[in-house]
Amino acid sequence: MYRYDEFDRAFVERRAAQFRDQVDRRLRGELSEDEFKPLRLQNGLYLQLHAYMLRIAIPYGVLSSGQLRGLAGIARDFDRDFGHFTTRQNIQLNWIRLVDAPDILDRLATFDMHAIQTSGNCIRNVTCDPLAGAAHDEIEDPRVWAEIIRQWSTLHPEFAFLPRKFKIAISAGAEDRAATGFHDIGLRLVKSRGDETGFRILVGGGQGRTPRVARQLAHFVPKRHILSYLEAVMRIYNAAGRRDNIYKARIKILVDAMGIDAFAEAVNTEWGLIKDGATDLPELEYRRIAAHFAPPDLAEASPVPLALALAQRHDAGFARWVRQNGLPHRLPGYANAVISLKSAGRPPGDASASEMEAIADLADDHGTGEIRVTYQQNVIIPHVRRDALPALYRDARKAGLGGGENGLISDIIACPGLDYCNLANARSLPLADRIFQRFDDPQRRAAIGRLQVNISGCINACGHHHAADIGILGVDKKGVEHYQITIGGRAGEAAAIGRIIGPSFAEHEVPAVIGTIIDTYLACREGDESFAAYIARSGTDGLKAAVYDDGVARARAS
Amino acid sequence: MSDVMFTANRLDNGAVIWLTAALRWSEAARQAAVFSDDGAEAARDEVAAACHRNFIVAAYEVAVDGRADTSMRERIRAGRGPTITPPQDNLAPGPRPATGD
Repeated sequence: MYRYDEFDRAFVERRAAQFRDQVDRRLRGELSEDEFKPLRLQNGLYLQLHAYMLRIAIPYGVLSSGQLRGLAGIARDFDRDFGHFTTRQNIQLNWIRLVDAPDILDRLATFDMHAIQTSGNCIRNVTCDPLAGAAHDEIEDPRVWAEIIRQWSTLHPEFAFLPRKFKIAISAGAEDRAATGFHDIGLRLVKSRGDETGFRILVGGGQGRTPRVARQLAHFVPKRHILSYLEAVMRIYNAAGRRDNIYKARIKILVDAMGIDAFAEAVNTEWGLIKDGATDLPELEYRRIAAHFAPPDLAEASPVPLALALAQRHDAGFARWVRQNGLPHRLPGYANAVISLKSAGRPPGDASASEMEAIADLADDHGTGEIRVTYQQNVIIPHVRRDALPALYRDARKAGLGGGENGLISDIIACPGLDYCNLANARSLPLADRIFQRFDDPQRRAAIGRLQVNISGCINACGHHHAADIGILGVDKKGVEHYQITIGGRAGEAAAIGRIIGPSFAEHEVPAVIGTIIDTYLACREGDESFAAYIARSGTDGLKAAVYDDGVARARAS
Repeated sequence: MSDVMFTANRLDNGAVIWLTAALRWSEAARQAAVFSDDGAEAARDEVAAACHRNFIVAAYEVAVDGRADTSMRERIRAGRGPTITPPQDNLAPGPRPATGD
């Protein structure tokens, strides 16, 4: 993984010192709140409902076990002993004191981490396929490009004050595990007909109050030109994006207004001026960065070890866990093991300091000391020998982290909602738990199969409700929390935006509504048809009838 | 005009605070004073002064006879924490925000 060199280390330390000075000036009154706010945001510090919240970047979702222990230490020393993993490969600490923030940034710098550009109107933390370098279906390791783009975009002087925030995601797998279709720019590594590697560029995706699936801007940009191409896109957005209305400031609105063809033409004209110039990375520098991501030295291992087969036969819980959480690896004798941060009573994506340390131990004991953070708010231990899976499962269970929820109805994505967030209209976390409890039967969850439930506490859609099979949006209805249900959204391949099925529900009604939707699906699906396939085949009329009229019988008849 | 309460976050640690009848700031919601038209003027002066001396940030008024007083947002703020239980650490708890001025 990428290790800071002296330049990187000095850069991050200087930035922390600069923020310490800014905090001191704010506390002395030399900076007003209006002057200070953009400075603290560009260092990831929000003022939330109960305290300051610090959002720390986990670049392309990769952590060493030492870094995760470092984060646990910060949670314990400066916060309330836990952290929240987000959909964009960050970790958030909810109880930060402004006066401690500079010390925390100093501490982060000691283990090569920071919170730069995790907020503010700038290019945010670049996210990536969490299986990068370990996936069975990727063209090449996208982390190299995520790191290159991170270095290019960090404190880029031209793009420090964009019209609005800007999010980039990269995926190199046949399966899109980074939700590239819902980013301002989505990058897919692809091969040209001539077998050259490059990027398919998507633009203008996003959620919020104007959800859009990204559209294709370029079908192939050779990878050596990616920085100049991105710079051209950013220049068009920076110059033409709206600054008069915060709700119309994202690039998706500009692409809508210009039309994708005119936008692409403007980008290409700009690109023509800077292509082959100083922006594109010299081959030597590319190789220097790529060397940090050399694959680990993995010994040959059996794809069907006896120990694994026996454990699967004798322990149904383990067998289920392997089926759900054991993801394929590029080497047949290895797996990537999802450690689920979803369980009864646990806010989705939350982990205590001791759990973070336990996860670090799992990575050291059963993997290569590396941890990945996922879009679904879970973590992954990559590069686990398949014959080590029983021991990994045993140790994960001991730490209370043995849930086999990956991809199931219980693998709920949720924003912090009104329990923590200043912007939220409704709570997400108690509802996530109610739904989890309703489906708290592993066999029933397995019978339902792959199904994504996402909850957002407001229209800003941090819980990605638009991109879920079943999306839940919290709204304020005359001062009372209500929830709208959307159906048919999808991240990944063939990304789609869910559609609202009708009037909203009170919180206590929602689990039963989800139950009705699931009962209807189970009664009407053909064979092992997935929920998404069922909706694509039959539409939502049957579900609506079941939810708002009298149930499954009508849906089955429709 | 309606009765109002005044609330903000402390600048130094972000803690939620309310203005008391004595025009001091408290982290205990039960000590929050309800100001009628007459008292509200002096309360607003204290809010401005507290901003000026860099003690508070993000100040606002809560209309007590409106719907804001019972909103879930204000109830959660008054409860000084989320309505769910965060994951519990196995070790001793860390520092908590300091109490009011």
